[in-house]
Amino acid sequence: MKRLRQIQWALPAMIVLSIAAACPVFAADGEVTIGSQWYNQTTREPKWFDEYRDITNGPMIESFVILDKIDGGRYSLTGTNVLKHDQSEALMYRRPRFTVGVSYKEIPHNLSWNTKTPYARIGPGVYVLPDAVQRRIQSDSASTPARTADLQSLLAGARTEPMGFRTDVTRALLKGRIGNGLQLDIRGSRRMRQGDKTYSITLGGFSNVVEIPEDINQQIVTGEAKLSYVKRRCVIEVSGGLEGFINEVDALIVDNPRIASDSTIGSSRGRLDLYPDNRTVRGALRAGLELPHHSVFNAYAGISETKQDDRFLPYTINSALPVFALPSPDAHAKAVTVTQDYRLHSSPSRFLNTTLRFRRSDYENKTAFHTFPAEILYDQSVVVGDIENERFEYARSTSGVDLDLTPVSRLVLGGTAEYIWRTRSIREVTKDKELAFEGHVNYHPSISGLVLEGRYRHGDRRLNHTPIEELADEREQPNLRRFDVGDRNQDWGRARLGFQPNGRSDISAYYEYIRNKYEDQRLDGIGAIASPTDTIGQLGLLDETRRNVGANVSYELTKQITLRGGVGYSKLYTNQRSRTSPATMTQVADSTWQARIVDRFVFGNAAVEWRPKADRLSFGATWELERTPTSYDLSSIGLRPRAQDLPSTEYRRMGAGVEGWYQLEKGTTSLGLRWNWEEFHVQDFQASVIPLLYPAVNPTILFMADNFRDYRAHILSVMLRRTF
Amino acid sequence: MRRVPWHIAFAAGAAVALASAAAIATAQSSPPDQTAAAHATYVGMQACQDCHEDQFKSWEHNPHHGSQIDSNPTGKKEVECESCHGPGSLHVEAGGDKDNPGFHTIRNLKTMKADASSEVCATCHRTAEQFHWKSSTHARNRVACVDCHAVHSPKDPGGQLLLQATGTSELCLRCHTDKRSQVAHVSHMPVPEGGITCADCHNPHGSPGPHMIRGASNNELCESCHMDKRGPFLWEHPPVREDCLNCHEPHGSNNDKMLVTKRPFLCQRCHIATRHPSTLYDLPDLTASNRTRIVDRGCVNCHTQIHGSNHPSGETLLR
Repeated sequence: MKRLRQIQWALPAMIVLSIAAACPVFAADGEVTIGSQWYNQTTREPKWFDEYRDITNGPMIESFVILDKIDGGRYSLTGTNVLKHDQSEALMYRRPRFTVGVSYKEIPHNLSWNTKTPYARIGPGVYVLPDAVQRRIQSDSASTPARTADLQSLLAGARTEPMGFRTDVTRALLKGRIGNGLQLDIRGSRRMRQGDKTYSITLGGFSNVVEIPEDINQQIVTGEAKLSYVKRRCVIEVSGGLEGFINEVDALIVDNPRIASDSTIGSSRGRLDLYPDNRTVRGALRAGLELPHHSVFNAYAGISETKQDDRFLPYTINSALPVFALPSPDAHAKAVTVTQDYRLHSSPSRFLNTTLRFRRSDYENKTAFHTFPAEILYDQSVVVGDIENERFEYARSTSGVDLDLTPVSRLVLGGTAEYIWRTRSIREVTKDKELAFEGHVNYHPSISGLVLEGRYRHGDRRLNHTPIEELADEREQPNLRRFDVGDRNQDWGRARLGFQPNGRSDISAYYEYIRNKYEDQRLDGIGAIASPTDTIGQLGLLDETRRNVGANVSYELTKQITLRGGVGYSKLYTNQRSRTSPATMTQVADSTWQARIVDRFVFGNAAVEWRPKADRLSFGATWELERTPTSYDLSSIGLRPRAQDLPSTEYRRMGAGVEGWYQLEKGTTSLGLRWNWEEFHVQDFQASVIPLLYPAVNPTILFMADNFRDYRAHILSVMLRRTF
Repeated sequence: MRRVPWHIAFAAGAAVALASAAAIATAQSSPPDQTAAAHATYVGMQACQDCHEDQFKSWEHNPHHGSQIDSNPTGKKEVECESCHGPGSLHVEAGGDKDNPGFHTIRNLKTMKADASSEVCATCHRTAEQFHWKSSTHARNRVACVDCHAVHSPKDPGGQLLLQATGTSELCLRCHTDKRSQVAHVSHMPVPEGGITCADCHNPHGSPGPHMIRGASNNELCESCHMDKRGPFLWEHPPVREDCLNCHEPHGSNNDKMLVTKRPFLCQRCHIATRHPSTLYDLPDLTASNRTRIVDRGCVNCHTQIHGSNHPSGETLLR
């Protein structure tokens, strides 16, 4: 196997190197970097380290570039991490009037190397357990040590099943100037996604949940053509495209670990509908017209129609439950999106810039209405009664005017007024509107290289009514205001400083503040509108505040030494209020609780480049730190026992690296050595201590233990770079 | 008195502002002094070679090299130095003498004002990617094409994008420094690893969508890769359909799946009616039995189909 792997590497490496070696003969220009690397990781753990990378021991073709002429045209062939599973290659060929290109890229998403499952996969999306195990567990009484012991015994034989998937993206393009003023641009892409990720399914309410691998075998295919025509002051562009999503795995079928045979109290298997196939047709028209006084008018109108008619699965996989007829073989789902954008931009003088704009986006849902005679939750509980689907649709319009004045050459004063109105169906708020004002100043004082920038925006979103009745219809708390459709006061400010005193140094710093206050003033100070006993006021997300601050410095100490560094800090504070209710909703203040969550992020990096002999020898060193502590401050009124804070979480990653290059042959061959070190620490009650069976007493969930883990890693690479 | 709807007033005001601006412009604007440049003529690119050797070397593999355009101001079909830098006869005649007024008749895009230098590029680049440039946020903030593109000395591998940096994201993060720390969060898109770039989601040249995204809306953009979430589903989850950003922070977050906060708190922002959605999950729940909603994926342990379900029994997003 090892030999096969060596051959698998050696052969393509030789091909690329042969091409590289032959390039000078054919007068091609370019560069290739090859080498070998060794890595060591204390705990095999993809989170961060190789979540999106393919890190292996052995030879590598780190990058290559080949540029040449052929048959009156020019081509470029570039690539990185060749033949690894995070590789990318691109070939572009340009002729005087057209360009053809193809590219290929693999994007891995490694989720865990340590996940385990007792299930065996017998087909796409079908996971089974030994019948004997199911029967044994079924025969145990619920909530007995015997059941726990049997589940533990089942998991003792669980096999390691790494989770992760890879997306392979192939793109092609052809663009050209096909006639006087006519341009054609045709693009296509194919995106294959294959692998597994952890998924879960409930097989009986909260008391029986299992986590299993979701088979991923999906394909996205797109094609688009644009034809544009340019004539003096006028540009017109027509485009059309097709998109399709194909999911090769329609459903996930999973054995119930606690029930061996179907019955009216439970199913031996569960079946979950995975994402349905869909297809989209789209078209758009753009027009641009240059007007007098340095003005331009752009118009865009686009329409797309998405259809989804995947066949319905039956109500349940449980053969012991009654069979109900489906009202239709599929959903006949259809959605039409219409987007319009119009902008009139004018720069009538060097003192003034204005833009008048309007954008509207409509999502129209044309899915058929269906009436289902029953619903069978988690293949177990039958709910009989006419159940109808609903159509959710919405529209969002934005109109605005931007005005920039340059009263003196070093100062720009700008302002924006924007009005946004949204409509939607189904939800408790069908209409809202927001008026926002923004001002900004950009000042270049006479000090060379200094730029000062300030920006402030205030938005005020208001609902068209107080949604008490609608929330009552939803059987929700009347004092709930959902943040995405609720009243909102938004303040956003940003200041930035940039300073380049000379060609050798660059300093920048920024501060950003965002505050969203979701306050329904009609509730303020008067308690509940709906219930006189409710004195707490608003429920839901009440406010969130984010502050970001950071600075970056770059300084060329000498011709040979450059220093770079940066720091960043952000803090996100959220405050939400909720209320515990039994099966019948209560509106008493006594059961209210509040969560104040503070997310922090600390970021720092530093780098040094040293070129003791610019044409011969160079060194570089980097260091970076990311630390993300989060605290959960919980409080309650009247709940017994009172709320206890959740443990704080923290993710911390520190990395460092050094790299050196020595030129063996002037302008052509260099030898490099690189060492990277990384340390990762995690503490998260939700993602770093998940056992296979949870909780320990009377377990209800079989997890795959998809945990983050601490690790320390080193990568050592030796590289050879050949320029030709 | 009946009030005029404010948005009509707003539109009228804006129209007046624009009309006034145009009027002011007519009165105030005067063309820059092009007297000297007006006498310059096109001399061909060979005349440039003697002094600008470095540019000539890099020109060999430049994507502009050899390309033919319809609107070439030189009158030739192929793009040459003067297609962008203007007629060079007086500049050549000056022979490098910077005191000679003719020397400065050549266009140097780096020293020109942002909108003027970008106007030169827009002579050819007016369609497709660059269609919305003039009304883009970058143009409004006086970012010029040459602030991001290095026509003669690109740093991207192969130089096909003519970038001022080794990669697209690296280029964007030079100015958008706050995003540099955001993409370094533990839960992030593969931007630092190079799996995707900023330009996969944003069109830095402008777009009809908000925040220069490559889509008419946030959802249209996200669903171009996550097409499985496009539906339309039999049972929709409205806030998901309306805006992915209600729950996800696309530039990175401290939470699994780039969520804006941890589950179940995320779900409990909107669902607090009765029973389990309304329950407070605190420290004792981490060890208590039957508390499936606080560990691992929280509420989504059971409501797996949170983005929508097409199952006849999927109204509560369990199937």
